[in-house]
This record gives sequence, C-alpha cells and structure tokens, in this order.
Amino acid sequence: MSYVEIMTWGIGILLVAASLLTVARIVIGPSVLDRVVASDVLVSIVVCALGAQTALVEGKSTMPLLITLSLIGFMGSVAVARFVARDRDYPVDFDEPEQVEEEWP
Amino acid sequence: MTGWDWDLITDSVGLVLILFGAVLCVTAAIGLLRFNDLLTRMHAATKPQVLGVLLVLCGVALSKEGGLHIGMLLLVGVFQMLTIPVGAHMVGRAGFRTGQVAPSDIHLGPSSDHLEPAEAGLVPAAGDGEHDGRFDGAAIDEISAGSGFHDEDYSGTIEDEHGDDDNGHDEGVRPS
Repeated sequence: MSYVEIMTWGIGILLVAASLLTVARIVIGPSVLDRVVASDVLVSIVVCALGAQTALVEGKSTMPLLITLSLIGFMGSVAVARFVARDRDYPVDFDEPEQVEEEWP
Repeated sequence: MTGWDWDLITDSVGLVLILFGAVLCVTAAIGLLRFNDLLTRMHAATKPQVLGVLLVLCGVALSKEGGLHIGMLLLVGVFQMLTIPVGAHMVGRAGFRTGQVAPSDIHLGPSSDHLEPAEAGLVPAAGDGEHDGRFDGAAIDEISAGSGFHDEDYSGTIEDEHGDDDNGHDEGVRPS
C-alpha cells in the first residue's frame, strides 16, 4: 500500500467513526436541541467527506453538492430552533407568565 | 529547488490537511458524546463546522489543480462561515428560552436587562427536565450531577406539572 492509500483509509475510518458517534448522540440526545446540534455536526462531517472524496477519488467533482450543503445545511437547525422556542412548557408556578411572554416576543 | 516534485508535495500536504479535518470531526463527535450540557456540546460542535471544514477545503484546493475549483471552495468556505453562526445563535437562544441553560452558567453583562427573568429563576434550570417530559431519569441525573445545580429550587412546581404528562413516564419525582 502506498502512503496515499493508507491516508485515504485513515481519513475514511475517522470520518465513519465520527459520524457513528454523532448518530449515537442524535439517538440518545436528551433534548431536541442536542439532536439539532448533533445533526449540524453530521452535516459538517458530510461536507468534510465530500471534500475528501473530491480530493482523493478520481472522477466527478462534488463541488455543487458541497455548495448546496453549506448553503442550506443550517436551515433545519434554524427551523427546529424556532419551533422549540415557540412551544415553551414552563412550570406553571410563575408569578407573571404574561410578563415572560411580553419580554421575549 | 529544481529537483522537487511539486505535485507530490502539494498532494501530501493536502492529504495531511484533510486528515487533520477528519481528526477534528472525531474530536467533535467525542465531545458531543461526553459533554453533559447544551452549551458545552455546542462548543464541541463548532470545531469541525468551521476549522475542520476549512482545513478540508484547503486540502482539496492543494490536491486539485485549476482555478475554478479554488473559487468554488472559497464560496463553500464563505457560505459555511456565514450560515453556521446563524444556526448556532438560534439553537443557543432556543436553549436559553426553553430553560436548558442554567442561569448560573450565564454571565449577565450590564447591557442585558432584558434577561432579568432568567436570572431571577423564572426559567427552570437544566437539571429540572421534568417540565415537559423531555428528559428521562438517567439524563436528569447525569445533567444535574455534571453541572451542580441546586435541586431544591423548583421542588414545589413539579407535582403541578404531572397532570398533563402524556409521555408515559410518570416517575418525574426527584429524590429530594
């Protein structure tokens, strides 16, 4: 094996391990926001993998896919963050819950 | 100087940069698994999102030849650095509003008067995950053990929350 093959295998194994650990956090994540953060990391791992494939594998380039992912990869997290911010289930023991609603529109 | 094989050199440096990016991805994944708070997980998550992706893009730019590739890689890097802070800001704000950020973890500056309800304890701390049935018991123990919250702050409000707990687990009482 040449050093290029060894480095390619190393990069692939590292990326697969990272994505598996991230999927584990998505599965066991105690709250929605933890899963959102983990899915953001998964998107960036996919971007890294596509870049590595562009550099290492001969053939078609994956540049349009990279640009698309880096453009719209954050929209899912933003949407879920808005959704979570809207369904607030606070403890009902507050003195002025309406004031909380007004102060954080 | 003339005897050097520049293609070999740039390919090797590009490979090393891509390997560093992959190592950063693994580091962030380990941090995501081992940290026990939303803000610390976000801190771990930003490492491959900016530095890892930029290292990989530099590696690709060194490995491939041609100006078109470099322009598109610059575009990818710029888009990544524009969109990642937006998502992180939204996630952090949602975490703060839904009470997953401990008030003791936040340093309130002089210009943050609108954050007063969180400081006064109106937002439940991350250890009190029972308010919407989102956490299970092990996660509650892990979070509260990891960040050292005071458990007795919201002990009066828990029984009021279990009337509409339709998630099936009703063991939301804490050991206090």
